[in-house]
Amino acid sequence: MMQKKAMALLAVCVALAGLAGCNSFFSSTSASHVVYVTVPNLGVASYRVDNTSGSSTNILGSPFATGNSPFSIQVNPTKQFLYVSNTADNTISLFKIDGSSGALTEMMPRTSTGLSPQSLAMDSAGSFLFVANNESNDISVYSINSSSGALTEISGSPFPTYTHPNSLTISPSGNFLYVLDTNLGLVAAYTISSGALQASAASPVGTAPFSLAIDPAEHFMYVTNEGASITGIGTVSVYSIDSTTGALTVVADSAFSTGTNPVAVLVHPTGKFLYVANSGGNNVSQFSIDSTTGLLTELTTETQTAGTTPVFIVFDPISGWVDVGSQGSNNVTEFSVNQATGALNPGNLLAVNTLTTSDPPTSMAFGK
Amino acid sequence: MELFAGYSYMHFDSTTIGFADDSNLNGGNLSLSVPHLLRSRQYHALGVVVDASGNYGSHLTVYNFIVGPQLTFDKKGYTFFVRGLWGKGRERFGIPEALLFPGYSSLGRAFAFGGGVQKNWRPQLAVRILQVDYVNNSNFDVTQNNIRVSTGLVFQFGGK
Repeated sequence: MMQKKAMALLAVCVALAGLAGCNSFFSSTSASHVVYVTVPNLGVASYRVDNTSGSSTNILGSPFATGNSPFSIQVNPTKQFLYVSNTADNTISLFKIDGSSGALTEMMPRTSTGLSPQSLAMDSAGSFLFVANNESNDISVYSINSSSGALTEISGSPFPTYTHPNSLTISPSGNFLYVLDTNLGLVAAYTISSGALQASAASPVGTAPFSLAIDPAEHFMYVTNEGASITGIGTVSVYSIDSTTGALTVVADSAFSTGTNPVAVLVHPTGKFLYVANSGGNNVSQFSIDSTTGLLTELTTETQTAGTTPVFIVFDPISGWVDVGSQGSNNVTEFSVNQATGALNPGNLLAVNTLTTSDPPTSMAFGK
Repeated sequence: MELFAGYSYMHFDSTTIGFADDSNLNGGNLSLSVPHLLRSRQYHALGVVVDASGNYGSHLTVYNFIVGPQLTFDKKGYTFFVRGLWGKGRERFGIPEALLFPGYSSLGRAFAFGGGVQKNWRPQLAVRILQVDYVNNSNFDVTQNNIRVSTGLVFQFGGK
């Protein structure tokens, strides 16, 4: 009897051990990706996010220290290198991304740039990094070493621009770099040739323009106007893009009302939908895009709540979610997108997930 | 008294600390046991085992030092055993060739249960054919469910 009991106990024990480990054994296929969020006073908060559920796990070692006041972040197309603008240090941090763990290792020394570097942009090939220096009123351009990720400032850099450039956007074709100047209310277009910038056009836009986005076909640009009214209710304006010069021409009757203080705009990669983060309204306005005219139609779906004081909105190319970073509630809200209607987090599809940071998030990028 | 020394493989639950996948770690396992402290019948006994293992991968090192009771059963030249163990585990994380990466280490609670079988080869020597343990580590503020598989030689000292 004792023999049988011992045998049974051994069998049960081994079976339990197997069962406990089954989940680990058979779920080793990667179904997740890494997101990186810049957080002032901390550095880069890093999370591994499940591609389906959106649940997150902290990357060991996160947050990874940067220079002072990290503001903007870019990951190169091969997901090997990550760059952060350190606004208070006037430097750019380069991190090597560990492919297995997602952990970051900063490569010293940091690269000096102009005064108060803020927005970063990278071409689709990952060959050049563009830096908007808000206080020195210029654009620094660096070539990127594909092996080491090291930055080398190109000849002619920095390129002068208007006062206090706020944000940089490279057009989908890669032909133009657009520089948004909130104070002057204009968008400057530069042609890009081997990273070198050539001023091409400067187009006045709305009142207190805060962000811009371009449709994938590069026919239209959308600019949010935070100061469109004294009530704070903003607008998003539509501009057609001259394919030769990059100059903008306003599309008639194209000032569409948003929520309060629209500060960030995103065109969905399909080119069919547009989303605006309203920092004063704590929500996201949703529109469909007429691909011929570029005009917008607000979705009938209710405007989505997105934390407190949302300040950026980005598309996650791996999960297909739309992510909204909120500085009042210190979090990032991940919305699933209804591919047919464009509605965020529709019905009972994927739940809204939240990444909580300990300080206000300022920008976000994606690893693999 | 028995001394076991052998190879150890660990399937480590590294997704809990942000890895894309679980990790396969190799290493060694050493244990010292007194298998027959309390004998219920001729072929059954309750003893105690002290177990130490180290498992290594390119990014991770996992040490476990655990102790607990073990039940053994002898039949036809084979010895089967089951045990439950408790102790401490230390984990170290680093990035290969990243000299500037600080690396991280954590010491936390560990417990395990499992069992195995060994063939009594010579009077004072046995071959542990297979030992399988579920190892639960609590490090870096998360709980990890790991599987450890070991095999090797058992040196027996003194009488049973």
